[in-house]
Amino acid sequence: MGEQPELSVLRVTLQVALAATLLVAPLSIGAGWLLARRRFPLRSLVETLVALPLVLPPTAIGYLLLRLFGRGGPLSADVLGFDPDLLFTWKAAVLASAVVSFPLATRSARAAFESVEPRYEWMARSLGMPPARVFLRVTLPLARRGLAAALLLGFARALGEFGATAIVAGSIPGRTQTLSLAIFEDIQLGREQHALLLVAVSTLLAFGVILVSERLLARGARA
Amino acid sequence: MIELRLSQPLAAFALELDLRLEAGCTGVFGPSGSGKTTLLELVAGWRRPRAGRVRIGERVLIDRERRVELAPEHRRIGYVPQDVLLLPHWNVRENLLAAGALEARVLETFELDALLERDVRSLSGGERARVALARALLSQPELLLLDEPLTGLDRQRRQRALALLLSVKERFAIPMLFVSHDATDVQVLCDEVLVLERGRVVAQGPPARVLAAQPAGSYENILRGRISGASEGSATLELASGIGIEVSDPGLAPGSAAVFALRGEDVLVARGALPRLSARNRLEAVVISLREDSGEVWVQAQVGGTQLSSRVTLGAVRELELAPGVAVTLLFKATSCRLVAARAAAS
Repeated sequence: MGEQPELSVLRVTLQVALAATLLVAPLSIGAGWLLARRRFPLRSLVETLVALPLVLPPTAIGYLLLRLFGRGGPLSADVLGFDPDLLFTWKAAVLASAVVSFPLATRSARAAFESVEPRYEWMARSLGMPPARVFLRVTLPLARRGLAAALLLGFARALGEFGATAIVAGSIPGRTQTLSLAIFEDIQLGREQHALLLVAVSTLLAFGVILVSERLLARGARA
Repeated sequence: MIELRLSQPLAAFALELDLRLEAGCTGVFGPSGSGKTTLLELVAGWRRPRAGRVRIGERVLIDRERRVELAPEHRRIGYVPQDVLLLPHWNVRENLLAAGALEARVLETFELDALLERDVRSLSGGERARVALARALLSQPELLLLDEPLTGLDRQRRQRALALLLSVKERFAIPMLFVSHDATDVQVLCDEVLVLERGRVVAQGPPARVLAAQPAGSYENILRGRISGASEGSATLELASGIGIEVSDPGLAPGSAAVFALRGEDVLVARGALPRLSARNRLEAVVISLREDSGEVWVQAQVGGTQLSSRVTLGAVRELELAPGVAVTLLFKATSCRLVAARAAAS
């Protein structure tokens, strides 16, 4: 009987983090490539904007999302013409986690692209490949380990997200309550033993993710 | 005809070229840092020139004034850079397929059948050069750019690779720009050479003439022929003109094609009766021309259908009364002839 809530917390946590990573993947890979390979106007402004969620308090990000999607906000149901049914659902948790993990994943993705020797790309062009094919067949495969590490890092950050999620998604058991939210609730309610159990689960999860990501990076450096 | 007009500022000087090249192999010779690699990267489209026009036959690759600038994938340039750049995540076959369909003629020329499934990171220097050259040829280029493809190879591999480049030149008939700082390689391979110094062409013309005017040691006699028999540590190199030259036995089977280099300072000029000598080669010749170059003289002499050059002092010219038309004997040791390219005869 007592196992059911822990399992659902774990399920929600993994589900939210995974969905956030899938959402972040194309965006951070695209932004990372742009920052690594292209010179364009207002580049440093874009760089700053991309890094902003890294330093803003997550609660501030949560509040901004709340205002954006909440009643009267620029992306509210009244303005959009349909109800995205976002706030206080697991989708809001996904969005909050995605916003927070995006800068981390983008920074690592950029480093991954920067580590690819551009002369390989030039050579592929000289062999007759158009730029899009060079990206898919040369750049992506050569950066793959670094990119996988970048996404894992984003996933790890999404796993632990608390501040923004609490504000836009609340802490609804079985729906939006992730590990970090459950731990917070346990502490508030004095359920010390239970909090400790969830902390142990979190630690194990984070440990595994970081371990895999470090191994990817180490192998990438050798390849 | 290839037109190269390029202008590009570099760190210490500007590359300024205005050239017209005939088909065949053009050597780009010069000290390191003279702009040779930059030239190739501009032609390949890896860099954008500040101004210029590049044309191969009727095809214009770059014309900055008319805002023509073909993307690298449309230039049909086969570029083999010094670091060859085999794509590391693909094996040999995949690297070749990236350029185009595998052609039997190319695979055979470069003896690649046994290498196709190999990881490119496991290849030796010579094998990497072979794969890179084959890959460049498979992309159906109209111009080959070779950036010091022989650097870093040991002597034996170098001899084979140079012979391979010679056969590429014969079989594929694609114009080449061959960057090198080795005068001998340029002489063996190229029909024309340009000397680049600090971004400018300081000399252009046939290798023999241009390199003879370069600092001592740049020019050598190039002897091309076939090995026709060996005995007692020496072998005979039969030149196309029918003359036999005795060389140290290179260990090649009779019939093998070989190219030897012989330095001008290793060729003695004699007149009159000769004593018994250790020099294995004594060739009756007629002086064609004398050219003075900072106190020394290049004596050009005709031996049958072959011309050989000797570098002697002004004093020697005076004492031997050398002048065009004078009959002389050219003497040189079998061991002075260095093997620079060899292709074993098919068994």
